[in-house]
Amino acid sequence: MRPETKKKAAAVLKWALTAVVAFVILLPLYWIFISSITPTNELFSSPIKYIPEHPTLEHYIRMFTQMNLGEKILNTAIITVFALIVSTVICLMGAYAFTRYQSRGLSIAYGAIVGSMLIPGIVTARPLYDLFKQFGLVDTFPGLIILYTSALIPFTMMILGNFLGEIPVSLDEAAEVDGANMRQKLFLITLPLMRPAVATILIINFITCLNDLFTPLFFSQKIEVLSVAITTIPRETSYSMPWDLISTVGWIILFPIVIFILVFEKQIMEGIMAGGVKQ
Amino acid sequence: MKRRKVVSLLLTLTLAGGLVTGCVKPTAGDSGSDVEQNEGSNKITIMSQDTTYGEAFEEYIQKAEKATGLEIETVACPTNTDDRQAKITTILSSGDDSVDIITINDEMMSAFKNTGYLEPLQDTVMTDELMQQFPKEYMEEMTMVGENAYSVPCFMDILAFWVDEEKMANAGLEEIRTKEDFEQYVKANSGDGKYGYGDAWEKTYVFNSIGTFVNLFGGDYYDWTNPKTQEAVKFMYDMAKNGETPLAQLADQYDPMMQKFFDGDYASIFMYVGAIQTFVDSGNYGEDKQHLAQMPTFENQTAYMSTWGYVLNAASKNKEAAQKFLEYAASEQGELDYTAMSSRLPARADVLNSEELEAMELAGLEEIKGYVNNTTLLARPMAPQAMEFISDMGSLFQQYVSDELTLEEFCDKAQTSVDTYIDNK
Amino acid sequence: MEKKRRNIWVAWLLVIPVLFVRGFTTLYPIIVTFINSTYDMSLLKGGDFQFVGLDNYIRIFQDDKLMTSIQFTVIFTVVSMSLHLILGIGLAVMLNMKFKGKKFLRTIVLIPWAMPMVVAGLAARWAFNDSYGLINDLVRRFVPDFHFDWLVQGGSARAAVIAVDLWKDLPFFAILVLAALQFISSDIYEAAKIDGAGTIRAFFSITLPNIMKTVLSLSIFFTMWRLTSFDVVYAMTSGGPGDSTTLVAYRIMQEAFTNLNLGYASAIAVCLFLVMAVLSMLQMKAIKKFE
Repeated sequence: MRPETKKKAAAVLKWALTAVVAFVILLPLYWIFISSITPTNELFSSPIKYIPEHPTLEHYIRMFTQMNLGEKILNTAIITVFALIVSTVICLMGAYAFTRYQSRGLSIAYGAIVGSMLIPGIVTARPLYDLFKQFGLVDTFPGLIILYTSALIPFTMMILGNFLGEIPVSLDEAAEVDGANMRQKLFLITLPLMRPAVATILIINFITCLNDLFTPLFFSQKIEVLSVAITTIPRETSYSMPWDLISTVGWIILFPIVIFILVFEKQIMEGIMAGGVKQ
Repeated sequence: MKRRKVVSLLLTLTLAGGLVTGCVKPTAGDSGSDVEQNEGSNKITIMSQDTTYGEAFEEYIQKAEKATGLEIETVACPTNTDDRQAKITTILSSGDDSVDIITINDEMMSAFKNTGYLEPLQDTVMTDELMQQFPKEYMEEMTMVGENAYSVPCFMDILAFWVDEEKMANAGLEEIRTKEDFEQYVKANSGDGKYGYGDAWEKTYVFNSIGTFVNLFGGDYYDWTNPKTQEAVKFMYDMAKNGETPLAQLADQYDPMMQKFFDGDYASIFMYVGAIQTFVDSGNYGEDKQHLAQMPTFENQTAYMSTWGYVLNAASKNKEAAQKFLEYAASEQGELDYTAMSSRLPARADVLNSEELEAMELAGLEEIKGYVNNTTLLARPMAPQAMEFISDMGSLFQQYVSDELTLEEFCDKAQTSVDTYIDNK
Repeated sequence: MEKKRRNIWVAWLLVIPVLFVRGFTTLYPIIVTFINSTYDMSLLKGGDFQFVGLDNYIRIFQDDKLMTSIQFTVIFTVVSMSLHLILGIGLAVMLNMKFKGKKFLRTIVLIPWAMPMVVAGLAARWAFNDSYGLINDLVRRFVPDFHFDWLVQGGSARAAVIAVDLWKDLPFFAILVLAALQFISSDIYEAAKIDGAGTIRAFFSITLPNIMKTVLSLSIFFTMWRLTSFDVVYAMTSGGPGDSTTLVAYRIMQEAFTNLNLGYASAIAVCLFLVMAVLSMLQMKAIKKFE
């Protein structure tokens, strides 16, 4: 084979594979979308009409007027913002200590925090609920923020620990020689270097917070968040699985995520990869 | 080598956990009737899945506030069975007092009525006089333990028989009155991808159908050695083997079942009358099309009924105020207001026969009155661990119709299941 | 790297908030879980709990339904992880290709990772429906009159659950493998080319050995996630038909939240926990061999 033909064949193969992957990933999403704009009585039809004949926004209008989506979005935002800030700040502090100081106790503590990632939340949910109830934390913003924060800690700690470990201690020491105190060292030298790591961790944690279903499902009643919306979809009768409304709420949840990915593709990719390599 | 430390730590924890065992004894959440009350409280919180009615629900709550002088806050509740049950169970069992009144169904009722999580209502709301108006056998079997009554039913539902009038002629019948009529009708309408009888045999739904047939055959759901009970499931099995009802329904809940009925794939189904609006909306509902029919008489003429009811959280701190709401909900006006919101059937007999209800022109009301007057309405067999019992039996039945179990094995295991869940009361 | 040993109290001060939050939400519940596992705690049967020692653990071995769950959890983990390894490395190699579609490809593989499992699962419940679902609709374009109800037969329901799990998590796995791929310098490939090695040989003699360590440590985490995941069956099959897709973690959730058998749920949880500890130890041993 001539090199040119070979090159062309390789290009065709690459695009063909890409097309297959795109088809597998995007078609279901597209199908959920057209289901959400198809009138209910046309949903139960076979074959599926991939271009809806009578597109309608009625499901969206119904969901927006009936489900207090504004309030849900606001609650989600409050919890997410606080959890992101708290988890990042305390993990930065922790990561600094873990990478700059050394003692047996500290390494055990670090191991315990990262290792606790392995503990499935559902296993401990029930005792945790009783504990939270005793402290009056169930169905409160502080309670939810603590839970969200806690869920973010192991992964955040691992990533930030890895990044901080890469920043040479000699930088700190040089500053110390120049007479910098602790605070100056932290704010003028270490933190600016951490900016990319913090950005990626925020992006990934943001997605994690949006998607958390079981924490709000069990630990809150009056405070409703977006991810739980799919469990409180109105049903005509208590016997139905309303695909029209599920697909609608599904897309209401998906839409911000998809936009977010389109905007931050590069950062997310780098963030995830940073977590993966240096384990 | 931090990771090795993780593992060793986990193991240490394991051991530590083992050591602490025996020193600390776990206790249940503090549920009980001597909860300190908020004096003169005028504010209650109701957790209800009816919030999905949107504006109509808000109107209903406003009517209630006007009638009782209370300030009522409402909380939404998951609409799918698993989440709803898990959530309400968690609230009640942990003695959470943030919710005063909850709407629950039969499954939850039988789970909670023996636990002390609910406040008995017979001395305050559900007086003897009022109780007369509700279906007696059902109330005693389902919502009471001894003297204690726990529920104020807000609506009732009946698992009724639906037929397709246009398919009657295929069987040369006017009406389905007996087992033979039923068999003839089902047989005549099966074949070519159509089925004379369709159902929802998903594992948490099928127990409705099993029980319905068991009762029709005069069997006893709790006694699987009874030949009549066995005959009933054999009857269902045979229908599936003869192509009179599809095996594909093993994954179906009620939605696909109704859709297939509307599409003409099924000639008859069992379905709750509460879904009647879906039938009307489908455009197939009518005297000469698809409609509610009276239950055929096999050995007996029976049907299941169920209710959703308001219950009072025993941990509530606003019991007096909550009782005011419950009194309203149980009153004629309260039941009518509820029906006006939901178009569901009131459980009170006098309200069901009232002129006000007649004026609301609910679809199928005459047939439903027929059920109430002629058919023996029974409570569904429930265990305290209702969902477990239901899906256990569902799994077994699915294995039986899939030929993984013989009839004998199925009945053996079904009996074991009954003994496990019922005897432990 | 030189680390400080003096002024260690400063370090502990900095670490306290993280330890407190994490400890509050995991340590206490875990200890309680251990304790509860030795009591007969069935909240629906009333409030008097008896100490029963290891009875709950013995019950595990007599529980046929749980055996089905364990069986499926093993199948689910093994099959899903094998496919993760094969397809995931394949997809990672694709993501690492240099061509114009790279950005597009990298963007779309992020979507399954970022979407909530409950949305994917509920959609899948409908997608695998015989009459109105997406899957059969596609099949019918090639095989007219094809009818098969995926979620009705145990075997196909299990396959469907694994397929959805792969759809959701495989891209994430691939991205993590990609990270390792990018660390292999192109010089090595150039050298191999000069030696006359073909693409396939280069893959086996250069690519694979270089990413093996990352892939193995990734598979620890992914195996653990498979063992503790239940959201896919929670949304998609509710564990049915029968109990054929009831993952162990889903069973724990049912026992703890719906049936309120707290003691029994805790005992299963403890066992799962131990299995995970042992497994991660074994996998770490395997990784050491590559070091």
